[in-house]
Amino acid sequence: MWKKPEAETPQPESHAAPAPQPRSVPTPVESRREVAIIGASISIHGDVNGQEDLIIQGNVEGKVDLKQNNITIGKSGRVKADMYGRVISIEGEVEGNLYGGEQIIVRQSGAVRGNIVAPRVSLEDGSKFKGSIDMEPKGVEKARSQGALAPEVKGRADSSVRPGAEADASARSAAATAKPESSTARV
Amino acid sequence: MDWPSARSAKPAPPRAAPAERRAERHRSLALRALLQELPGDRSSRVLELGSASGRNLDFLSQFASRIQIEDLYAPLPTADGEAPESPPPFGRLLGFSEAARFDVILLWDLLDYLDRDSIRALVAHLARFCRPGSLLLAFSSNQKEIPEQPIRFRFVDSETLEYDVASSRLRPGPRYVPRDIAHMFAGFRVQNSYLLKNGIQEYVFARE
Repeated sequence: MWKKPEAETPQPESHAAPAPQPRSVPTPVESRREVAIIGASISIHGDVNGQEDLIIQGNVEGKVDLKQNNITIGKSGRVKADMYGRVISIEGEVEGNLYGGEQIIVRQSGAVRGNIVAPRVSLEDGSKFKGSIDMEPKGVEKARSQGALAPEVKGRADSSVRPGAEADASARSAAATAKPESSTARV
Repeated sequence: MDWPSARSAKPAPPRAAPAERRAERHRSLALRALLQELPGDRSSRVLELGSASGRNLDFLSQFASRIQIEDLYAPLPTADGEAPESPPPFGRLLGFSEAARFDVILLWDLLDYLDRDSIRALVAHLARFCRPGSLLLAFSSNQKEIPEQPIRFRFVDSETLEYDVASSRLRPGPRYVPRDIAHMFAGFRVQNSYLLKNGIQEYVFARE
């Protein structure tokens, strides 16, 4: 009675490589890691949050909160915001505090002015950094419990970045969701 | 348009070689003495007044899980320029929270690039953020001339530093003598002092 119709459970056709497959095999779409991109011509004033990886090539002021995901600030990215991510990689410029659950990497072209909290931190030769680095294993949780994640600025626009929002598309969605209200990011 | 073909073109003159960088090594007795004082539990908090370096971060992370990097080199005046303010506004340049306390401060050779008033102002500012027993590492040259810019030291091991000699340009050295320096470090005592063969006087100061 509860058995699904066979048509709904696709079986691998080839038996050449009988690798054990979990029952809930992700579909190609599910297995592809979603990455959103804020294009170089995009400016966002407000909070950015969501459940997918993010590449920032444009300007962001406010807060970037993607604790379970990776954040990359591209070479043309300019961010004035506190950022929360799993792995945060900086190639552009950031002014704000960075909280990385796993690692924060400041690449050769990167410049950071702010404080870093992450169990692993890497500064590549040529990178610029000014601020404190806290590599205590539970530093991020500690910062979180001390209220670092609490909203500190009233009236921030909620400008969540939508999946697959790239370049021009992201311009439209960001413009639609991010109010042009200035956000005073705490840095 | 009559571009010469690649085959017939004369070989391009060799480009001017970029400024040659030589890596020099510096054996530091003061560094060894300082590191021996640190507990091995990464509990120390370090203030690095030099520039950010991945290698230094990796090295220091053996001793400290919290490292403050301030890159005080950048705002310093060069031999060609005038200092905008003397002494520099250390309260603004080193704007720590009042609760910040450092166990180790790496001053490197900054003393040689500051006048006496600036050193006193810097020491007084740093003293506010030290605990009794906090250690400060500083170098000073007794040579007539010193490199134009402060040296960016990189850790090799617990008694060896490396640095690039990027320029042969020199500037007059202040030639502070140990007694002068001890007077300028009000609130600190000289815990270790070494005069090396290369004319570098190394100090480990301890906050009283």
